[in-house]
Amino acid sequence: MSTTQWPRTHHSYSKRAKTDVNSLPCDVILRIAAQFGPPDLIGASLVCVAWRDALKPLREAMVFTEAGKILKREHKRVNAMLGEALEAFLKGAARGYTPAMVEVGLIYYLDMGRKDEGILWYRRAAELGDPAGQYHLAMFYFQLQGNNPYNTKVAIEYLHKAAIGGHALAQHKLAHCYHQGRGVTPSTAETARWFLRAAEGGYMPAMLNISLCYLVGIGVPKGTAGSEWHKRAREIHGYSDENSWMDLTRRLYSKEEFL
Amino acid sequence: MAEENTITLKSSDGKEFLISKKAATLSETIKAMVEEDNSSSVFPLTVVDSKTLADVITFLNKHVDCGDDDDKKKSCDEEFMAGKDDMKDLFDLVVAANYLDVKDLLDLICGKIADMMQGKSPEWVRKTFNIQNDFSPEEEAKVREEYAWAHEGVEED
Repeated sequence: MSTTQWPRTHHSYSKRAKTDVNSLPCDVILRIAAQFGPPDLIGASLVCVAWRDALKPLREAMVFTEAGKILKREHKRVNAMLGEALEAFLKGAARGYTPAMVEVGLIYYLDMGRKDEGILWYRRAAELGDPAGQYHLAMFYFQLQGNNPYNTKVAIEYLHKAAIGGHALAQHKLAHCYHQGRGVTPSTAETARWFLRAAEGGYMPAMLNISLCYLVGIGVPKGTAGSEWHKRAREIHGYSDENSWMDLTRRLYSKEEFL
Repeated sequence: MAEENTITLKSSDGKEFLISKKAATLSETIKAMVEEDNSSSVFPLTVVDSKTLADVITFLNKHVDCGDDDDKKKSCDEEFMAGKDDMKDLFDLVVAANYLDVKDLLDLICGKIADMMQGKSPEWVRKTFNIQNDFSPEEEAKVREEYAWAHEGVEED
């Protein structure tokens, strides 16, 4: 049997001690941190000099993204800043930062009605593992016309990824899918599991839903844990205005946000 | 002939692994090697040790078996990742996946490492990954100062 040496040309990898993780390739460090929010990104930049240097483009992207968010908030007041916000997000996205890609997608899809371009950016972020990108892409597939089983299947796949990635809205939506058997085999255990995860992530409607699960015994044993979640939901909403609480719960019911 | 459809990969510590060409060429690097030198049947990979290479080959074989079935791939990936919590192993795998250019494996391992890192202090990351802190105090202070606004919520060392 003949053999061939590979790599034929000297490759920088062969110089590296295998467990010397300080010298992880820059693109791998960038890939790992691409979806980090500001605290985790700065935390990773503080690990060592090599990581600080490798993560420079993402830190720049983070600054653009935060600036974009401020401009977008201004836009809500002044109605003129959207272009500037988009420009800032695009600069962040160009550096491979997935939260910026999601923001670009949101502006194109929701604010400008350029849905195809919006989906493209959601998809880029989703494929780099960004849970928010995966969630928005899932919601897009859900609302495609005709409830085509293929679209539902794709939607569930992205929703599942986003839920595992810790996206509370995705976890809440997935719980509903398990409850209704939409694109998945109905399961009370999975329903309760994902409502609980979303509630733990701080999503208020999920707190109310998991409290109902405990009250009725859906996927969890009947018990008093439900009243604790109900209390926390109420605390988040605030106690000052009973009418608005009733309005809110009614609105959530009508939007099928509840079980 | 069966032999034409298989190749041998040799790890850095000299162990040989027989693998189908179809599975091996899911790695873009191996694909390039095979295309460049069709007459060879043994390909030494000088930077991947036998333990890591065995893992990579398990992954490649599973993915070939799954074909285009994404559901199968998903459950294969879950099975593959089950119990992979040792950071050193994950790092060896991510370096191998990057070198061998196996996108699905790289995505999977990067995602896992990212999940494990979130909310952790720089010192936790250093300890877990066995990384030396080579910052001078001034350099470290500069990063902290420059991004103080973004730093809230990071676990202190």
